[in-house]
Amino acid sequence: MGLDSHRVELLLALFGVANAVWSVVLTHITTRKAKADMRQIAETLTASFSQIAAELVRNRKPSSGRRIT
Amino acid sequence: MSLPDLSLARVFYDRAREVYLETRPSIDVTPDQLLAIASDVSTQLELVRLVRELNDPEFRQLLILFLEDAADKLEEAAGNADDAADLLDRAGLAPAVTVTTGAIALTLATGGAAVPVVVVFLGAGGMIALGFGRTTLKSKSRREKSGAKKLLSLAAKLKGV
Repeated sequence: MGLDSHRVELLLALFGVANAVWSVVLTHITTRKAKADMRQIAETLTASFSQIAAELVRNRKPSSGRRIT
Repeated sequence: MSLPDLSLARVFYDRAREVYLETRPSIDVTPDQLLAIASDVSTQLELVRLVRELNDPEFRQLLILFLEDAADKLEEAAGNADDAADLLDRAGLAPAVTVTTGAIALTLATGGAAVPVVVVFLGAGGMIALGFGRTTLKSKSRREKSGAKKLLSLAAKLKGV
C-alpha cells in the first residue's frame, strides 16, 4: 500500500513536471511563431509592392503606345 | 502626446514613386511604418494630398492595391494568432487545469503531502505561462485586425482621390 502511494506520488510528480514543461514550451513556440509571422509579412510586403508595380508597368506599356498613336 | 510624423507619409510616397519609376529596387517598408501612416488622420491626409497633387491614376492604383494586399496579409496573420491562441487553450490550458485540479484534490485528500502541493505550484506556473502567451497572441490578433481595417480605410480614401 505504501509502495502504491509512493508510485502515485511519483506519477503525479512526473505529470506535473511534464505539464509545466509542455505549457512553457508550447507558449514559447506559439508566441515566437507569431513574431516570425510579422517579420515574414515585412519581407513579403516589400516583394509584393515590387510585383504589383512591375505588373502595372507591364500593363501600361501597350496602353501608352495606344495613346501615342 | 507626440505629434504625427508627416514625413513618414512623404518617405513612403517617395519610395513608392521611385520603385514605380524603377529607380529604386524595393520599397523596404515595414507593417509598423504602414500602420503608423494609416493610424493617424494627419499622415493619411498628407499621403492623400501627395497622391492628389501627382494625379497619376496608375500610381494611385498601385498604392491602393498594395494597401489592400497589406491588409489581407495582416488579416491572415491575425487569423494565425487566433489559431495559436486556440491551440494554447486546447493543448495547454485544458491539460494544465486537469493536472492542477487533480493535484489540489490529492493535496486535500492527503492533508497537504509534499508532492501534490509541488504539482499544484507547477500546474499554476504552467497556467500562468499559457495565460501570458494567450493574452499576447490575442492582443496581437486584435492589433492586426484593427491595422488591417485602418489600411483598408486609407485605401478607400485614396480611391476617392
